[in-house]
Amino acid sequence: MADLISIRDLDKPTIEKLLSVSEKMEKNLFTSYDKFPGKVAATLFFEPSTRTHLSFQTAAQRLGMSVVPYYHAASSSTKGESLSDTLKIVDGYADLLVIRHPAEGSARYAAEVCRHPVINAGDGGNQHPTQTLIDLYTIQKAKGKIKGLNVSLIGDLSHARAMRSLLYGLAMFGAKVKLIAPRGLEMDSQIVEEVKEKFDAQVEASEQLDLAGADVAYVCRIQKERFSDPYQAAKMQASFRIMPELLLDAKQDMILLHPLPKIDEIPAEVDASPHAHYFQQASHGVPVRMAVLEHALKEG
Amino acid sequence: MPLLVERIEQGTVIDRIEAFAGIHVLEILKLVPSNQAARQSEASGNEKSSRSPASPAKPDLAHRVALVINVPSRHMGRKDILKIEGREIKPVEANKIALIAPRARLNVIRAGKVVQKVDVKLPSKLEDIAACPNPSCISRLEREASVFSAEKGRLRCAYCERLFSTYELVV
Repeated sequence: MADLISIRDLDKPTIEKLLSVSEKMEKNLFTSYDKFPGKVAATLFFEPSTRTHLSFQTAAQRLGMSVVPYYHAASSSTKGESLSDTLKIVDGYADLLVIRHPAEGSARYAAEVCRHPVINAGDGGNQHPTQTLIDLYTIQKAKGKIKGLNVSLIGDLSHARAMRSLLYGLAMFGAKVKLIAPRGLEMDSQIVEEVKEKFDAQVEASEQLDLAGADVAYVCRIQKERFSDPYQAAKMQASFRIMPELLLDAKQDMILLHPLPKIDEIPAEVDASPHAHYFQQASHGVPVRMAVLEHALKEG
Repeated sequence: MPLLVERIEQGTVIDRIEAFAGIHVLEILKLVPSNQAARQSEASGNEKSSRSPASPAKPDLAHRVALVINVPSRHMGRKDILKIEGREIKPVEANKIALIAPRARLNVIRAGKVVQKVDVKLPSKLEDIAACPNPSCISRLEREASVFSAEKGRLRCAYCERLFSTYELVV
């Protein structure tokens, strides 16, 4: 399949292959691949992004591709051009499209409209499949396996698309997942039921922030922009911070991940902790997205 | 005193509709002006997109229709019956009503006689049945039709991937 729209579209062997190619890409990251000279990747970001946008651009360039970036604020979309028209135009310029858009299902729609492969870089609160691949790659690399690991997903599990995608990926690979969220910000019960049914996954939920027993603690920020009451958001964030003293209860080899940006849910002093793995995780964005781009162009 | 409804010479009788679901069957088959379409049209006035959200095709209002509600039934206890004069509902079209009337039976009438009986069956893929209830779904904002796949009695939007009960979609 050339398009990458949702983690639901990927089976385990395909993910394993992508992770294996990611490893090869990482080993030779600073050599020139020049695999796809003359190919053009368009990166259409209708929402702000730092890591995803830059790592896709870097990945494309390391594969020898050129990049045409699209910046929403400076585009004709601000004049009222439909998404469909914008996509058709860009599809005529590029060999592959990477899209982030606030509407859920926008990447699937883009794949219908475009002749060239489309990669989802985040569609509203729905999916972020390449982030999940990065997360699985990071866990596998740090722990040597995913199956049987105790993974805690912590924070605003209601709004974070990265967490929705990741729960599916972890369940597919047989991790034991603990969902730790403040009341009202729990993971959508539909997806919990789905992974339990589909993968016979072990998933438990808790409101108590506790790292004991976890092999991996994956934290995401409270999405303050989704709250109508900023005070309520700040209060929830204050009760869900990974303070250094909390790490004292953690297993020695527990790794702490975060899709970034981290705001104040992980204070800066934790960055120096041996548990902190989120900057390595972010650096994996390039090799994993190189693997994704190569897969899309080879299949497409 | 029995309730009498005129026989039809040609058309369709849909029997075994869940009691009180018949009114929604009329909407699904577009035999009446759709309330949902009106609600969607009203809602789209508040959206930024210049496009209308997924909406059913124009209703077919050319036929005489009789809906009998809450009729005693040996098998179902109570049921609704729908008679449509002059229009043969195709089984593919009728399958959409399995969303809310999973036991419904389609009887095609020609020259006053039943020539075909078909039990409805929920198709695996449903197009243009109703707008996706998720206001953030691209199918409401840009695309002009919706697509759902059936998953164990519920429906998953092909775009936003959310699951909905059949009643959330139709009623």
